[in-house]
Amino acid sequence: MAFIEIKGVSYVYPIREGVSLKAVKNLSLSIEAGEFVALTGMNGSGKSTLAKLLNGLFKPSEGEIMIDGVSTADEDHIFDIRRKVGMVFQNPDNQTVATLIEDDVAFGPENLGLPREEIVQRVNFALEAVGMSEYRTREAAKLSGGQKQRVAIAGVLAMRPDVLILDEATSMLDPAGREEVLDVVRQLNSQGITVINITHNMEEAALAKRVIVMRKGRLAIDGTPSQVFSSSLLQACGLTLPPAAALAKELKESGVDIGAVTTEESFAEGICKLLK
Amino acid sequence: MFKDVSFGQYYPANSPVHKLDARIKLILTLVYIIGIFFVKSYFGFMLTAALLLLIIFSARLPMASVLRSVRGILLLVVLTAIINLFMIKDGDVLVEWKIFVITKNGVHTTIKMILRLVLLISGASLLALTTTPVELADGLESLMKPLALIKVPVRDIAMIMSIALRFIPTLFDETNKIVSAQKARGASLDTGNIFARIKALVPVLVPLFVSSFRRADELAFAMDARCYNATDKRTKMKRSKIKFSDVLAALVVLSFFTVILLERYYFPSVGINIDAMIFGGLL
Repeated sequence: MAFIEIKGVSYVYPIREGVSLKAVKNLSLSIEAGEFVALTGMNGSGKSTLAKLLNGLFKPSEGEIMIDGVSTADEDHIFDIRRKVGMVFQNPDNQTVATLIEDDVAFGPENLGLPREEIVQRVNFALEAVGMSEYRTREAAKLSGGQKQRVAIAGVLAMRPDVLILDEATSMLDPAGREEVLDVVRQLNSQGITVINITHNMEEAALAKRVIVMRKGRLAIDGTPSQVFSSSLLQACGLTLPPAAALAKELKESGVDIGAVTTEESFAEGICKLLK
Repeated sequence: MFKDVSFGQYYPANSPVHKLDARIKLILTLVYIIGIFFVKSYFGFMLTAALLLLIIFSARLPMASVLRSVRGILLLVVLTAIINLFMIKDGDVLVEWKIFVITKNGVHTTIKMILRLVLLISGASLLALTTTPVELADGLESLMKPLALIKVPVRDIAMIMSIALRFIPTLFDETNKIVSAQKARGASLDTGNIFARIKALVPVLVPLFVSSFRRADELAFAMDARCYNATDKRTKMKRSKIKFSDVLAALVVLSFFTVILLERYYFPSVGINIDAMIFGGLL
């Protein structure tokens, strides 16, 4: 069984008496440990709702989600699931609990009731992993956006998670901040942490090994970046190709086939091959 | 405009007073305040002032920072002084004009009242000047711990305090942004009379409220996601230990308190004699 098993899950937002919104509809998929997945789709496609379902912030209205063999609806294990499935949110300011960076990173382990020495050790480890050790006694409010999100990742890492979900965590950052965060995420993935990156940015989605596209609460496309980018459904999902892939497509239509292109790097490789 | 204003009065400096345990400082401030109400003689006030100066000096604070906090209560001091001066009618009459009578007793009570208020506020301000808001919140949490026995949710109160402190700079930034946005749409926030200005604040406060609620909502998700409430026994990374300097500070303040009590209840003549010696004929 895969680490994350989503089986026929629907989620209904109650808006008011008699009115509700079905954000996720009969969704089934599984994600293996160690995968790097990009989850994408238009606004309102249900991707953020799915993220909150994965760590039990929301409970499925129908169906079941199993994390490492435990249902997210199981109240007895809910904190175990939240520890295993860490989540970084969009707005860095609204997820920092403490004034000082080291205190904020310690928040998770403190909640788990770990002994003091263990907390100190984990905070050191987590800040080291995101390259923020030298800032530990600074005020969170005075950091750049990219640094704030790295601290947020450290806060999750300090709980020793198996899965890291980024819920549009780079959407409020400038390009440099986005790179900082993505570098850290790639590194963590190479160390074995499963990453689910929810993003609007198709260039960012291209960095993942698997792209899942949602549309109106349903699974629309699921495959490698090159499979997804060549899918005829992409436009119907409200998504556009990243520039490199779009250019390659145009070239192909005018007779120059440089193969499957997802990122600028693969574009360059394709061109090189062609020139040889 | 708020960007670099650190919250509260905290005056950063690397001094032994700044490094004292916040709990000790809280308790000693309380002892000092209670002590001041037992002071009766000018001798006692001199002793208090000496202690205050000693603390200000070792905290490396500029006098101006302490006096600034006194300025805030100036009106109160003046009012209290005037009331005391004219309301106390016993003792030798110094000046008498129509219904206004000033007695010797009245003058002494007034001077002592002023001294008491000024020393009280300066002393209390030292706490805020030398302790960061976060340390204060942690200190209060630690001191309130026994209240958990009577089911006061100490942990949650402490969390609320520290989150409130954490969000002050964020909300200041937000306010500035909203002010700019409203100005860009032609709002005039700093013209007109006081009523016009207060009314002009409504389009700033409403969006600020709405966004604060949205922030609160997101923060709640973020805290849940990081297992807040996972256990009843939430541990703490930082544990403050009572140091030698804390004990020393406690000894200094407690001996001050003892001397004040002794002087008032057991050796009142000491104060009276010293007062007479210094001020002689003036009394």
